[in-house]
Amino acid sequence: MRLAGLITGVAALLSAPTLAAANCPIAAPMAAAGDYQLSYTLTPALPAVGQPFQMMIQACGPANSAYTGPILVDADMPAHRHSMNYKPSVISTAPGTYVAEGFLLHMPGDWRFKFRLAGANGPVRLAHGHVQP
Amino acid sequence: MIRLLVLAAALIGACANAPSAIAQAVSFSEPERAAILRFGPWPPPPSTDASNRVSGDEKAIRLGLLLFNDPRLSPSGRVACASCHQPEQAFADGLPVAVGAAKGVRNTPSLLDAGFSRWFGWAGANDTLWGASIRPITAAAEMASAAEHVQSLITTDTALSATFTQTFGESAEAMGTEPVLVAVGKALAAYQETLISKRTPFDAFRDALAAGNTAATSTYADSAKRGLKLFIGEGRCSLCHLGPRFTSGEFDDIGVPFFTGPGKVDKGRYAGIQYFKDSAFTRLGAYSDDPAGKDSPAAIPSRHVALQGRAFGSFKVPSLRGVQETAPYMHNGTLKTLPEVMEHYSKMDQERLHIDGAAILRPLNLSPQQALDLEAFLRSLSPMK
Repeated sequence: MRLAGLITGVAALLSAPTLAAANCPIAAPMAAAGDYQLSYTLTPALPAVGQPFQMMIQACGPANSAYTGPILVDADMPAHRHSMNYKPSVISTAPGTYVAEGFLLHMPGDWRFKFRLAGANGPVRLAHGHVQP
Repeated sequence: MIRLLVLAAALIGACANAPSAIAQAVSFSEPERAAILRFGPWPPPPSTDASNRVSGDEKAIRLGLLLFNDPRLSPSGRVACASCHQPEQAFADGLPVAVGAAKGVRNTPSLLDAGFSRWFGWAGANDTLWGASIRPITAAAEMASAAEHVQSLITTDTALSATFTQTFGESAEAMGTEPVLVAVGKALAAYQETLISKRTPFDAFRDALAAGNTAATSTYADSAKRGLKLFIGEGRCSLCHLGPRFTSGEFDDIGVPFFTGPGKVDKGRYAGIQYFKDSAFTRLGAYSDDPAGKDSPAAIPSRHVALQGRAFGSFKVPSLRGVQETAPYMHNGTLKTLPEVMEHYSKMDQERLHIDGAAILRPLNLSPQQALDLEAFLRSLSPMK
């Protein structure tokens, strides 16, 4: 019984999400402004139009440190002058790493992911283009 | 002699025209082909709703069918679900706006393929089909009923009572008033999930295109092919009417007036979100049967939907499957025919769009032939009779 519990514990540890801090500076940042930079991946990697997806964000701040402040995320279609119909929520999973949930792009075309970080001197805005097939 | 010359000239003309007629045969580029394939396959694989424990259950489907056609759900005994969602009218009613206990302000949407939706109704006031089935039961202008009346009907009708108990494993009397209303909504939803539209000439063309079967693709009318090309091309219709159901499932303002009377407006999606956030009958509420509750992946859009100003006057992008059978059109049923719909998009009044609305729409300025082609394509989205 005790062995079974140990095995279960080890299995849980192995399957737990990685809680590593962001690796700063980011080798290939997708967006940068001043001392701040970030990159992200999507889950699923290629979401379909109308399919909810998550965004895994790595963010770095001044002096190549992991950014630990709040992040607001959004997406819009500049040419169409509209944003999403949803407001994603963001949680931090480790210093400099965040998971945003609640993205849903309802139209194919040129979208822009927008990020707002809390900089030392005020909001820091970053953006990165995304083509939704 | 003159007649002979005319005939010869006609023959020469016909021969001369032959190559150009072939040259004008409709073909699709690789990106167009990829876009067309995304409109299928049809039907999608069957699925069930985790928030409804009787979704897909045969007993619930039978109970739902009984209830759907039973006008006694309304206290007047005159309005059933089927009064407005008439099976012989593609589960719509052919009227500009619904007439239940009173005259409504919105067109009755077809229920075909409703089970595949994320949001229900023109304003998306519900995130489940069972919630969307409860709303008209209690709405004053629709069935004008109440949970107490519904429970009383189920408990006093011997046949309904027995079927209800078999379906839910508990009598309507023991279950409690509001839970019975929810159970009725879930049985109605189980039935409506079975209402799936039939395959169409477009589906046959799409599948032939996917298979590279040129002989089969050639049987699809050229006018429909030209309309399809316009639909996915310069018409930009497929920005919103996309996927196998020809809808994004989301909401837009397309310049249809939203005034319902002097000083009265239909707020559309804005009111829908307000209703949803106040409702107990959602994926986020206690009546959802999803074991993951509000953390379910299916509830992610429900948790994150945002009440924004631009939702005001927006309405759900309708599916175009079976569109030929569901006239009149638009949320308020003001466009009587498909040619009137072509006219709307061709000569769109951009002044009617919200100032902060999406900059997507523009008058298509369709030629008469283009309007006919687009209409031919839309008609090919209905099953052959």
